[in-house]
Amino acid sequence: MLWEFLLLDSQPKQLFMKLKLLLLFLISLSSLGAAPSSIDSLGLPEAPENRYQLEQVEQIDREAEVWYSFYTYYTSGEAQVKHGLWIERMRSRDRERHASDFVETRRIYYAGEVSNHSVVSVWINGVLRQRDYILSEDLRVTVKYNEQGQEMRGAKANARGGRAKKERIIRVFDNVYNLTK
Amino acid sequence: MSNEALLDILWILLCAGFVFLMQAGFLCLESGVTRSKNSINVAFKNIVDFGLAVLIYWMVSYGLMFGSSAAGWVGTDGFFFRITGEEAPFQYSVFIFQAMFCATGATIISGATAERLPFYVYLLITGIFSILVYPFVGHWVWATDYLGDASGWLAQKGFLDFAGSSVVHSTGGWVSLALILLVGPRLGRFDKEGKAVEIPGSNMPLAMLGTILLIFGWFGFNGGSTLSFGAGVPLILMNTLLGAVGGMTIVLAMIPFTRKLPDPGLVMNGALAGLVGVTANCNLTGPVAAIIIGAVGGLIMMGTVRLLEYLKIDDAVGAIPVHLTPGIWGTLAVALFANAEVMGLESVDRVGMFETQFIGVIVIGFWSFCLPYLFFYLVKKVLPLRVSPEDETAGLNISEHNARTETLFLLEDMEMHARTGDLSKRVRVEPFTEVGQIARQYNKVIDTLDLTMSRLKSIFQDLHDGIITFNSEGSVLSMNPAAGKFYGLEPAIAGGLSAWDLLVPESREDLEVHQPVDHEPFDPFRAGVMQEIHYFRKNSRKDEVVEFVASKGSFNNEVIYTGLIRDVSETVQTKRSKSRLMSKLVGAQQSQFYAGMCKQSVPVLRNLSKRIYDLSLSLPRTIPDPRLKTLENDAQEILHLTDDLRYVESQGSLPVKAVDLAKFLNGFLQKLVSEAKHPEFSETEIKIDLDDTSLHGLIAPSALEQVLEILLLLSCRESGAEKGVLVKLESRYLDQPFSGTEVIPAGEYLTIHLVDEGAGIPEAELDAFFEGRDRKYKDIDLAMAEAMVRHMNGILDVDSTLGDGTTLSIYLPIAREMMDPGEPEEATATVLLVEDHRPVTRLVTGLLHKIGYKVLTAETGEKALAKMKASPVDVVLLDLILAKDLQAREYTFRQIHERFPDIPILVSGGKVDAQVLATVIQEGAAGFLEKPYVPAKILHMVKREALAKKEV
Repeated sequence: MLWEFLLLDSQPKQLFMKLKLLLLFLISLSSLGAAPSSIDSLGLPEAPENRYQLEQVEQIDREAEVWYSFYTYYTSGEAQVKHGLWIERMRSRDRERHASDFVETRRIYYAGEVSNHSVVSVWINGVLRQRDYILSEDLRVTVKYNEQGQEMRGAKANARGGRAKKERIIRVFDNVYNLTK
Repeated sequence: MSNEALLDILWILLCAGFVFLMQAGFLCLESGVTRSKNSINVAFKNIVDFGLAVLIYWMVSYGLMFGSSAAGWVGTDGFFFRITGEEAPFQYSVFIFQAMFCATGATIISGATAERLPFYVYLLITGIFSILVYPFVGHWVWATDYLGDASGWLAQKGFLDFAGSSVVHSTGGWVSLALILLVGPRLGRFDKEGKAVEIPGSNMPLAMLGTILLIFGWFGFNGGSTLSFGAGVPLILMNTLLGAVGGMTIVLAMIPFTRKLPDPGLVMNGALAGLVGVTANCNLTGPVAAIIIGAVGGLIMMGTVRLLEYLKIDDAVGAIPVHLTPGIWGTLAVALFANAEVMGLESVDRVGMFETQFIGVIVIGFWSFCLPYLFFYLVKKVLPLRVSPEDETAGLNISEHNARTETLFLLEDMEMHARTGDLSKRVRVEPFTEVGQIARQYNKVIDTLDLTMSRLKSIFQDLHDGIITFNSEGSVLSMNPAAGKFYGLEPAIAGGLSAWDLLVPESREDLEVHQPVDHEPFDPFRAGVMQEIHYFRKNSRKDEVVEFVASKGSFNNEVIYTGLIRDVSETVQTKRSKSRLMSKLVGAQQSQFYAGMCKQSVPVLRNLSKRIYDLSLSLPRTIPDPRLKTLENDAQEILHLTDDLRYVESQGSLPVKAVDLAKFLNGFLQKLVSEAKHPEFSETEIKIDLDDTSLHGLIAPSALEQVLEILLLLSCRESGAEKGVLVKLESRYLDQPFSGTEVIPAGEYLTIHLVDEGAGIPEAELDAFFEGRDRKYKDIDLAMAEAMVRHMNGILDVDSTLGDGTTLSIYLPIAREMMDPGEPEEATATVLLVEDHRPVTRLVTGLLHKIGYKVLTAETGEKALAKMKASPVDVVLLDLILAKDLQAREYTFRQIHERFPDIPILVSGGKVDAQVLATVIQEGAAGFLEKPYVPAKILHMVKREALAKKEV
């Protein structure tokens, strides 16, 4: 249909006129348009707002499976309201290697509400080998590292733009979750 | 927003600016390597495709390319791109960067298809590329999902094209190829044998500047493709730089093997091909690999150039050799040269990668070539894809944009000259411009050409010989008035006639060809050979003979013949007259016998007539007797006659004296009518036409009166009372003998013609016309008239045409010494007369003295030069044929003209070779005077040149 509209019996001048009409039509459709996929729409983590009188709790128990935990809170009446970073580290079966072989999970609490995003890091032999930046149940960015701690990207990870987008997601998580390698 | 995020945005925007600068690079490069008549069109397309591509990209293509993927094939959202939120600055930066890429891809096509596409077709191409080709391929390779994972189907397979060797460059090349195949090569790109003809660019330095801009822009093209500013950027820029260097240097290195001089265009394209090669892989390879990839890209470019020429595919700027094939190479080179460490892999599966890359190349090629080819194949059915040959020849600046420049004005004016041949007009001069200077010089050339052409035209028009030109098919192209007069045709309408029909007509009513049996058949194309054509002119019942010589030349690859037609009828008649003269000499010997008898009888007769005369006077007059008066007159006449006879006997001629012939004729004719010796004189109207000459003739008046009486009686009888007789007096100079019925020697004459309109005299009777009495009128003694004229040192001649009448001509010597007033005391000009024929010298000297000019004479060129050195000369009148000068005809002319270029030289001659004449006129002769001279014409031309010289 479009083909016929544009070209059938069209002289150059008529063709330009038809193109103009088409352009106006398309512009009128612009209100129906939307931005392409942006990481904004993913609900990236945001740092919790600063509050006064935040207290922090840090517990270390080498015997326990979750040998390290950390969170911050403020009090509202008698109750503790978690607010800010929340960390749990779960060791492997080898208690002796609890500080070098463990899985760390980080969450953020916003005035007692836990975030739906989290970061899960796996440390083996004291080297960070994998980190999952979890935005939701189905959306996660996984970064793997080799034994020397170098990032293992995989061939597809070198695709143009993709790497940059991942890095920007990671950078947001790293800032909010106060993460380092 | 974090500092890192801001740095990313800054880097992307900076690189977008770099890539935008590539538009300027393409503009300069494409304008420089195409012809100036299309430069505006090419440059304009580079600007317009940018605008159109960016608009389309914003409206549709960015969404198609980076929107949420539909099964990895195409984006489905993000049309009319806009965004809010924290991500907006980054997303807008990315959009700007990606839009520049789209515009770059589109502009590749403009160069390849340059110099032949209508503007609207190019807009369509930009639209098709921006909507159907680039965003689809871009989605397959570069689209990512929310998390940055590849969403395009090719990228999901592992296809890698970092900055667009395939996505941008190959796609542009494929679309270019499709278009070029559909529209065909530019006019004149391949010759009739299919050999490529180099079409030179208009401005190579501009093209080189364009290349530099492109290399500069490529840093942004590749460097910005990270879409972030990270540690990998320097390596990418390094590889980009080395790719360009590798491509450029390999082309330079190949020069000795191609046995050609360095081709700037090829070297520039080598650098660009190297850049295209490393574009896909510069983030994954090292510097050595980058150099190799760039160098191979350059070699591939050179091979593609050869291949396109072999296949007769005309890529105006080499876009396909630069973008298509090196783009494919760069994409495949990812698999060959990718560095595992840089990629973040333990090892690289090169075979698997190559398969993926190869599939990508094939699919992208298929999509980018077939889709536009099909689309424009259909468009071609309803709209022309290329401009008309006339528009292409004129240039797209004019035909597509009506761009008018001073160069165009000059070309238009020059075209007008070429088309109309009207050299009287001059081209417009635009002051203070280079074109204006060219126009001014061109006008000077036209001035000289106009002058030369005027002189040549003058010769062509005035020449007594006929000239015709005809082509190899025998169609007459032009003829001069002399030829037209001879063949009874208007020169203006002669074009298109057959040379055969003109020269040897078969069915003309007035002219028949009577070639002698022993002559070879006439052939106008037999160049360099003199051929005779014998005619019989029916009206005048005269045989006429012409000599015909053809010369062969060529103009604009067309063979042109020039035929010189010389009427030699008089020469032939001269030969006949000579034979008649011989017979007369025999007759003269017989006459001597009678002369002897006459000699004895004259004294007796004189005494007798004297006695009768004396007796008549002594008789008493008382009785008036008319018979006595008659007796007295007769006796006096016999007395005069016998006195003349005695004078002739003693001196060999009649006693002559200088007489103003005009006055003499007027007086004679009045007396003739009043005396009315014969009734014919009063019955027949006698008209007089006296040439405006003050020359005196040397005549015996009484004898001439008797001659005129005899001849006029004959003319009056021939014409009859109704038609009348014309008595005409003119001065005439013959530089060579004139062969009428009598042979008249060269010299100066006063000529009296008696022209009647009678029945004419048969040719057979003309030979012995003056022998004895007239055949028809027995009382008219023509022999006596002839004898008396002869004894005045004159010649009596007759010319007659049956049906038209007869002309009796008396050639009388001029009293020259009495007429030359001598050198003027205060000469107004000095003329050097280079002439070795003394009668001519006397004639011209006298004429010029009369108008107050001083005359120097010289018989040779050497003497002429000596005289010119000794005293100033205003005009030179040079006889081209000097008997004492053995050099070439034009030698003396050149000697004088080279040493005295400011002095006008009028050349003269009788039967001067037309080639010699054309040569001296082209070399600067002021004019040509053909002999026999017409005094009025000599005076006119000498005066004209003398005045011109004084004005200068």
